[in-house]
Amino acid sequence: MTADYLELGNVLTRLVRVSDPELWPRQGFSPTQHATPTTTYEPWGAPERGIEQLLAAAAGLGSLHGADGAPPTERPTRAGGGDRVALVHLRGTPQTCVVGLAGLATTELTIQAALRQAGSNVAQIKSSDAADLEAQLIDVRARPLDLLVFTGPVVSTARRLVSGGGPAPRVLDSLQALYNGPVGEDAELAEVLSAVTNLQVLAPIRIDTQTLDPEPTERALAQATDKVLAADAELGILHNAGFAVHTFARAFTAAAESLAAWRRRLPTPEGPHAVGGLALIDLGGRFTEIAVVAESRASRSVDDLAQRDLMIGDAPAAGRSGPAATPPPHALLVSDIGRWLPFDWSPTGLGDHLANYLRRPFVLPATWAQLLIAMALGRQRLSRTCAGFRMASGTANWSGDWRRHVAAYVISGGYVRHLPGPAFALALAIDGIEPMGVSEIWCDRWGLSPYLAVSGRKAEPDPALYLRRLATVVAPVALRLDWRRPHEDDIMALVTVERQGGQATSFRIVPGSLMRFPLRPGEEAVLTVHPQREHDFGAGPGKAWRGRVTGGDLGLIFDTRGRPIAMPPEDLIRQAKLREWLNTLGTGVRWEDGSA
Amino acid sequence: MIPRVLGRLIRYERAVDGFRELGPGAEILVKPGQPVEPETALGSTKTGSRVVRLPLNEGELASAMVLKRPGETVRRGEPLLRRASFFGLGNTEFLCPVDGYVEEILVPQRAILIRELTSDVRAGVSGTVTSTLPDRGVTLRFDGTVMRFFAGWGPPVAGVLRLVPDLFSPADVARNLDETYRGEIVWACSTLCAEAILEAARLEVAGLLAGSVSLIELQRAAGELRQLTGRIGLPLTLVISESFGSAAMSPVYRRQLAAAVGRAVYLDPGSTADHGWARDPEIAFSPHEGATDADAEFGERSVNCTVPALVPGLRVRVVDLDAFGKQGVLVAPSEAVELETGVVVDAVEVLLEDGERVKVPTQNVELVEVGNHPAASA
Repeated sequence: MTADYLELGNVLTRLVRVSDPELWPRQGFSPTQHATPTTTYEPWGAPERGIEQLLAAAAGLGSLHGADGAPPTERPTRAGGGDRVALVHLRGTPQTCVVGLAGLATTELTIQAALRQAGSNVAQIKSSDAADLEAQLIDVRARPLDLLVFTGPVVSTARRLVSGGGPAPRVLDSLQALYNGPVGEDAELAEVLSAVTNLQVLAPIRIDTQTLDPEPTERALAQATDKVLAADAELGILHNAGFAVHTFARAFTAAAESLAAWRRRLPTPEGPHAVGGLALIDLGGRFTEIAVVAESRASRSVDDLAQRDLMIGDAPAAGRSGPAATPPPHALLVSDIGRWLPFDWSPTGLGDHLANYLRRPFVLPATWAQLLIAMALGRQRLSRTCAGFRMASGTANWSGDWRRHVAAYVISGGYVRHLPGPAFALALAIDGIEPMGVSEIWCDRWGLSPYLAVSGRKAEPDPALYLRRLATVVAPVALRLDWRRPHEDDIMALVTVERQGGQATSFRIVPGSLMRFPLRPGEEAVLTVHPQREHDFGAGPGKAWRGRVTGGDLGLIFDTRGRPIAMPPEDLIRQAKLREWLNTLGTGVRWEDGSA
Repeated sequence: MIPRVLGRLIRYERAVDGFRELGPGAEILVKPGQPVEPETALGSTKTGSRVVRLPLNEGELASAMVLKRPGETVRRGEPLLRRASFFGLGNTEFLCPVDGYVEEILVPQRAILIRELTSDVRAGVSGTVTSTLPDRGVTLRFDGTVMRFFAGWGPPVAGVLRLVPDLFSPADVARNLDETYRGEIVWACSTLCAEAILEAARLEVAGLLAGSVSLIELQRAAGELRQLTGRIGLPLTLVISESFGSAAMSPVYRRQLAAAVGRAVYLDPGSTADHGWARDPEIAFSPHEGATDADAEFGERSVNCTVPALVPGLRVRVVDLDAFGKQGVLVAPSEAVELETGVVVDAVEVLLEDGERVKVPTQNVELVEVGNHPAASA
């Protein structure tokens, strides 16, 4: 029996075929893959042509690299009896417009979160901004929509929106319209909209001043999304081929919740980090998605690369006068990316290299320099996403930075898949996420967890079969490091690792270093960290951290490079340090090796 | 990995359907079935609205005189508001920063909503209007050449194509760009410097077409133009054919474009985004008088692209980052190779136009020709 997992991404359309999921060997697991750039068939074709090619290649109907090279002549059909799950990213999926008064009210935020959870694009109209209303309406009228959600009786805005025919439905015969506002004030709105659609009235999210109940709204939005996916002609080929189609967003959130539940059931670890949350992070060609679970429900956030301009940063103004323009806060700066490169670079050369890469993000890094540049971009994207992430209200009682409370990170996505070995994946994760305290780093190299979370299988395969435990990372939660000051003599903590069988090793860790302790994959040990002064390793300032930890492919990592990670200002020293850190993590270890 | 099918970069075709995007609020000036010439105006775009905040305190509203009413056209530099100043001894005028028309005067917000009016969009080719889509644009059918480029910014534009030798340095710009290029599309065969973009904007050149532009030059020019005009986007259309950097335009493009110099062309910058999911820019122009099918480079267009075999002779564009944008032909079929990073992938060997041979992952090439072109079946 086989399972086909297809992803219609913004950059790549990918089909992963796995056999006998229950029997996946843990190490060296490498499924059959076929992929093609999603833009392959545009603008003269459509993404479904790419899906067709992949299904044909997987079925062996037409071999691209075969001797004859003839294109497929048969239409691919459903494989015999196995799972078929397709996940669709935001591109082309439900398009929703939320029409409200202020744009920031609790109901609107909850609805937007629910929509994103369901995998919908969201545009917001703020009726209270009269000066900008017409411009907002013009933008919305110009693009086909699937869903209109009203969070208040904004009759005049609705009247202006539907004037001249209003927004056109994208894939359905008519727009779906939902109302979730003050009770009993929807009649006039329904009348205005009656020319284009029927208004469905939902139970209000805010029951009283203290109580919110978003579940009925979330359910209605999920149903509306399902209706759109079922009607989307672009996805017809997937339906016909027997795929269960879901939005990536929904599957990703379900995967985070499922992995968090699985980790709680594990016999280890024990100690302060056993009760911490889990973060699932997908670093894809366009979106960086993150879902964090504290108790049972995930908070999810998406960072869109399309919203981030690539800027040189300190480029002088053209002409003979004028200061350098200040880059906007959302920009990705070439100089920030370049600081992760262990070789000399120029703003012009690196800027052009990155701009070309972003224009063709499916390109595979073929040399060490290309790989390190792609990793530097990935680190910066991860860093931005993690720094901007906030838990949704009501999902966790965490104080301070959310990373202080997370005990396990699972990283996946296109940036991880083609790295040469687990050390590179770990470097990307530690440098980009900057975990705090004691936490485990896992890798879902083939991105299987979202598929398995929505596949509907009676028995979900044990995540230990397809996840790689990269390492357990120990890092102080707050350390400001200044490389201009001598610090090598400062001792941050005394560490003791007691292995099974009673063998204990003690050593010191100092600021500004990355250190690896060779705890074998799956080997358990009791870790004790005695911080010096007021350093905090997760148990509180100056308090000892003691708990059971498990080794990963790369053992146990001690990261005292600061939060955020501080780098020496001198280029030569910075480059030497970057090389040293990469070597420390074990860049010679291959995915197939499976051990530190 | 099934590589990206870029299709033909240059197509000479009969009955091409081209869409001319005018945007929301545009006024369409043609009807379905109407024949058009390159100079025919299809419509007036009203690309967006701009809120002009009036420099008034609440107490000054009563004494200030708003000189325009909703619906009235305004030009850049025209007075919008007059108020008494210096104890009534003088008048202060507030000038309109853009061309457009007044959509709404918002007294409580002390703001005027102005719908910006940009230039008319011309057909750029000889053909027939097949349909008009209110608030969207116009579809044309024409015989002609369509060339697909790498990246573009700004609004779609039509104009006469003019060749300048180079705009590589400020000295080239001073020597080669002048007032005679106003409203025309300037083609430079190599890379552009920031001063070229700034000077072209100052001269109100309609569009710039070049082989490449470096990100740093583009950013310098865009930053300065933003300071001068207050606009986020470029005030002119800029299209590059090869890559970011300093690459010269491919000889294949140059041969075709040379035939269009002095004639009207239509330049569509595609999606104005820098990323991979953006639509590629295109340039379209009608055949010159007396052109025959023998002038056609690649015959009929194939709409249903299929992935051809990766056989020697197939034309590709390399997007490997060390040889980005270079075109060439496959000289060896794909085979599994181990990259220097240790990753094993399928790779192909490509003979580039400059004679260099490179071996790159299959994922890092784009197939330029498909369907019935002789090279595809060679």
